[in-house]
Amino acid sequence: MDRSDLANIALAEELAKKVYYRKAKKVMGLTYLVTSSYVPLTFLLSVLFPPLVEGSLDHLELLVFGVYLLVVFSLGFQLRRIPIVAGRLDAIAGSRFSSKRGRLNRRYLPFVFAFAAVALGVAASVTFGLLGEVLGAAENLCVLGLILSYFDFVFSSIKVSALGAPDILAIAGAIVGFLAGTFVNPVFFFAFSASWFVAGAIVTKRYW
Amino acid sequence: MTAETGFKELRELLRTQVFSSSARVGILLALLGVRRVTFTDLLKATQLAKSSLYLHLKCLEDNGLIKVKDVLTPERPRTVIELTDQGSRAIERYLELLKDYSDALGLNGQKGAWSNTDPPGRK
Repeated sequence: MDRSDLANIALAEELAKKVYYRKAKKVMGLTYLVTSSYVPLTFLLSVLFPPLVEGSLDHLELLVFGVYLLVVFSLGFQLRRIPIVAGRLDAIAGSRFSSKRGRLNRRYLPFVFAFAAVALGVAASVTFGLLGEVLGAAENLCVLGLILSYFDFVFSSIKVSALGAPDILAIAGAIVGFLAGTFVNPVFFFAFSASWFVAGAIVTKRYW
Repeated sequence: MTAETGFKELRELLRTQVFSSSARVGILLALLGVRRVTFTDLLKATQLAKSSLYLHLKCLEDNGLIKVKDVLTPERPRTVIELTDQGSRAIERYLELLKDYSDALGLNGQKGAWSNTDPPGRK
């Protein structure tokens, strides 16, 4: 065994992290695309299926929301091993960054918060009526923030920045769309969808 | 198992056809993180030459560490590479041995530690 044998691990790590990066970007692009279809779909549902029984549309929207969360969760779940393996590589080869971010016990945290936020939002919209709409929008923003923070967590574990132009567009679109959609006009919710669709299309096209 | 036994196992492992190549180890590490990857993705991500990547994959497949299969997708047939259980065990063991070696030499937390340190048994 000589020095070059041991240096191989650094080269291997570099190569593996390139594959992780590509995979994470691909999943991120798909997540943008899937999420962008939520607002148009719920709008379409509200047009096609006017509530026959009071509250039935709410239940349908809730079901759609749950399905979307499940799809996004399963997309993110594909990346669950990346922070763990990257953390182990850091622990072996040494790193100037902390490897704590890639530890096992934090990997599901964003999703735990996401589900807690959903539960709170649902409870608030049932309990507080109009105030519930504001809380609902805040809750949606929290869910989107948690989705983005999960990707940030994955990218941080491989020491790259996730924040490109499409991501900034997605963040801006979510903030403007949900705030203006809640306080100005619901049509602004489509700004969120459009921004996430464009971000998703750019990222997916680049890494497909 | 003593540290010396572990070092010996690591030395022997590094002499094998699979673990003597950084590209092959890199492919195994990549698969440990993502479990399955398409040939195209691997090619684009690693930027290795197509023929070179094919040879690395062939070697890993011949050693039973990966499975290469063609999958039909709506767009076109894709070659998908998956880590086998044997492959998973092999790369896990490799990481364990390296970790033990790193701990024994107190390299944790040192940037670029591998490239600046003489390996065990080297005078």
